Amino acid sequence: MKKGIYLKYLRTLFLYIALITLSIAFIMPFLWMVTTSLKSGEDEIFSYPP
Amino acid sequence: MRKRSILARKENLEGYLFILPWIIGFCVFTAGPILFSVFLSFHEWHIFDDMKWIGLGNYKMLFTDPLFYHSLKVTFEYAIINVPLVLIVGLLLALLLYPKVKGTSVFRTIFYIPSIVPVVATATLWIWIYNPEYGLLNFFLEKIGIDGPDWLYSTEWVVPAIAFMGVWTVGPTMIIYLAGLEDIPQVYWDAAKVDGANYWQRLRYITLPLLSPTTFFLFITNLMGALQTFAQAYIMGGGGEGFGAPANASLFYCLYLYEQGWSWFNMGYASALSWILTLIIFVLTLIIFKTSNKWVYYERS
Repeated sequence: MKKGIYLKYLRTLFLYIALITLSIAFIMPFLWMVTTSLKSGEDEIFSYPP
Repeated sequence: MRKRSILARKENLEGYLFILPWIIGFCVFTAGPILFSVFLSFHEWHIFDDMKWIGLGNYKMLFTDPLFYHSLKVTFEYAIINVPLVLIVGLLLALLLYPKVKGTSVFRTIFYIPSIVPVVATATLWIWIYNPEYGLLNFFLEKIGIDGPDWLYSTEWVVPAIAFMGVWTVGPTMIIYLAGLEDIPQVYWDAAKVDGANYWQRLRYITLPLLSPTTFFLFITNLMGALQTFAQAYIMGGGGEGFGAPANASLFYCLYLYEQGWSWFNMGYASALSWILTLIIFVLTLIIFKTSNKWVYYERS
């Protein structure tokens, strides 16, 4: 019984890790687009590291 | 009897009058241009000159044009990478979002947001991401010790790069897969669970077969879209350097068609190109439909 509960928690944890990792990959370019729209000048926009 | 027929005729006439604006719009803006492009494909016309009837001349010329074969190859290469990738990622996201856990709607929104960004903005954004010197992707690859390629500036990587970008706008595919999952009766999974099937067995023998009508629909629509790719290639080729850059490696079929029409004003040839593409899409769709009875399962069948 306890094992089943642990497994359920583990599955949910794995699900959240996967969702959060993928969300970061999906949201990063979008965030860059939004932040770039608030910047001015080439130096600021094309600064490296981004 | 006669009275009723007069009344029916009057009602019919009124009905036609009501849909007349749509019929006029359809004839002028849809059917008209389609028929005109058929007519054009049998002519040599450079907009400023008179039209010259050349019969099947444009179609014959097509088959001796190396750029026609090249653009077709580039487009198919893109479709072969993009379509399965979008379907797999869309399904994966839908499977992750299907369990009812807290915050699902937030994640769903995050995955869908890129799809509402206009294609021009998306393409411009990804030119920066793929920039080999100061782009985001090579920055992260460098962090894990990988020397990233030149992406849009490389003849080898430009098509895969544009195809990978399609994954970012996977939102609609994900939503349709989610709707497909919602449509599968819970009782099937429960029964399989009782029979001792694990997650992968339930996925392989229940979820995927019952999702096959959804996959069938998405496969056809995504393939049609992939074969008609234009804007991404027009904007991103060679990092925004121009048509088909670098060295025609990103010369997609629709880009070549556009170039023939609006850079060289070969309207007849461009029309022939568009009809050949229509024919290719039609034949492919037909083949997929014909083979569908082998891999698409409907709940009722």
